[in-house]
Amino acid sequence: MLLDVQHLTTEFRTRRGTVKAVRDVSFSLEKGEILALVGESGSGKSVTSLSIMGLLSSNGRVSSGKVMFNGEDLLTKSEHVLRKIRGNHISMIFQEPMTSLNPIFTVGDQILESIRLHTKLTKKEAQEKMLHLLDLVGIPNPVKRVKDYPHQLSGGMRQRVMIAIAMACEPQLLIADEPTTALDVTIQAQILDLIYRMREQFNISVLLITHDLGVVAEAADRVAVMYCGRIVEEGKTSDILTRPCHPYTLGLLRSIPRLDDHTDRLYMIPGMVPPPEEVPEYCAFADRCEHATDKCREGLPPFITLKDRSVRCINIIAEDA
Amino acid sequence: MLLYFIKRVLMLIPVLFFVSVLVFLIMRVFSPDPATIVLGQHTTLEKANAWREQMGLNEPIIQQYLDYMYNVLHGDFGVSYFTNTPVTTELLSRLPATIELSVIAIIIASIVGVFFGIISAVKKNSLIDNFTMTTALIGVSMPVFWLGMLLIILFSGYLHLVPSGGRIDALMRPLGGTGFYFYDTLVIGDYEAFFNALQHAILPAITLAGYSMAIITRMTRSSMLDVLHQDYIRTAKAKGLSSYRVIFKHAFRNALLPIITVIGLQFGSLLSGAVLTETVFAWPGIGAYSVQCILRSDFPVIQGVVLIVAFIFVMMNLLVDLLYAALDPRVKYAQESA
Repeated sequence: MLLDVQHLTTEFRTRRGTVKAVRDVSFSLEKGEILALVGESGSGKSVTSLSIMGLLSSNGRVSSGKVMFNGEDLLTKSEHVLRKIRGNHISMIFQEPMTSLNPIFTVGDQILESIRLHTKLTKKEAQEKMLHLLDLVGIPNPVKRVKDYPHQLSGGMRQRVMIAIAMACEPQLLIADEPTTALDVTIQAQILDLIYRMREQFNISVLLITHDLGVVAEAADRVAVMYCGRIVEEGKTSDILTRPCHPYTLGLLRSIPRLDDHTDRLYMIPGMVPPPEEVPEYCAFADRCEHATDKCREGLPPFITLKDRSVRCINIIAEDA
Repeated sequence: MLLYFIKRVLMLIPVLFFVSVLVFLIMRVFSPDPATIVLGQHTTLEKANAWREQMGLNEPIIQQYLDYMYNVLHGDFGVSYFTNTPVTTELLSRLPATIELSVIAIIIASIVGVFFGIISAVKKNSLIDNFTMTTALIGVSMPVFWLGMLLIILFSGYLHLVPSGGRIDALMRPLGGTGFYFYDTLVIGDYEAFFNALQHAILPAITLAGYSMAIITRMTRSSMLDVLHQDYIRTAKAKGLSSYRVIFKHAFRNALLPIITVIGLQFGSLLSGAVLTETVFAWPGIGAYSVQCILRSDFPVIQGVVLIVAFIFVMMNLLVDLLYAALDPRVKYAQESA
């Protein structure tokens, strides 16, 4: 097992008091596996990934839990040790390739920086490696492109550069935080395909964070659905997407527009996501759930392990989506 | 780049033309008659008229302006009504003092301002941030003459560490030379005089720097805060870079543009003469001198000063813009395609 997150809870100090963004989240990731964390904005997906990287903003902190990476708890490591892991063993790419690259350095410099930081290659070897990486991520004419500044590249090209930076030191884990959200649909498919290829080629594990179930269906081996900072359902992608057991997962799936469906209105989950400071100590979805009973509001439902998944719900539904 | 530079320099011409017309008109319309000031209020009408005739002030105003500009373009800014010395000589004897003081002040202001601005931004809302921001607020609000006098009382009056005014002790004044005492004393190897000049300059420079320092600190802080929240800073951290590298290599260079702008503008206004500071410290620069000249309607000198100040300002702006292009590749790109 490469990554094993156990009972992770992350909180932020805000003006309205301490707010929990991630609540008792556990999941694990095998070598070479792609796990998707799915949820609406504010469900705690990104905070989970930043907690793993140790890159929370200064008002955030992990209040409990463990992040076991290769059998060692990252949360107990010093900043110095973490810096040697970041960009080296665990890399990250982000949603906005437009703003994720530093505008005043050439893309070549930004890739080289990563290589030279974590390896002992000479300048010349590093440059060769950089060109190789650019070629690998499918950037045409790398020799010319390395002298370009980010603003001279398209969004898709920039995301490829980000992936080249992330792959610079052949990491074991790639955290991709909404890597395709800001891109055109055709480019989305190319980037997903590239991530998929990197996994095949280097046997890296990928933690794919997205709100797009289409992306999940296309790329992920397993999926964990998050709602209000908690994982509500987790299992193999094919199982979860075809036979959701948690009412929230079902709601999400029913909200996707379908080509063969000719109703006028899209399905909408009734109600709103509660703000993080108002998340109840019982099932957070109960107040929006059609299947909810009084029992749902008595306490937090336990994780129920079925043969193909775990679900945090006491009224498990069995329905084909 | 060169094309851009040439374009910008050509743009100087209309600006300076406009400034010259404006100052020329203002002086002649709103200033008291220089004749009665030069000759004294008990002079006769004939004498005053004769003096005006001699100075060309009886010509139509357009003729006066054309004559003046003709001379300026030939390097002749006229002669002071009061001292009868050429304006060029008057200004050249005072500009070095102002430039020297401004350079020291802007160096102090930039180093201290940028340093504390960065610390403030990185340690936002900490004790040191609050302390720095309060100090900066005081720095912006404190009247310069008041700060100057306090410094004189403390460091000169009680502690006797530095002299209270002037540029250098009279006996150490370098003869001839450029008028830049720091340069002149170093060239002839007179270190004692150099340190003497430095001692004289330190209080007025700090006084003068106070306001600029506060402005630069605040601008550095807000610019850094803005940049530190950018996505590429998160990318830099995710690469595993040390916070030092993240702050100075990735954040500070991006935050630099607005900082350079305020430093440039502040330097421009320092160079145009700090009237109050120069008065408090008896510093023989152009600030105090030009006020003197305004009070006695010394047209040629005022016109000369205003033209030179305008020139300095425009050049500072040009320099800032060129630095932009050097620091930010996107700026260069926009110019080339424009």
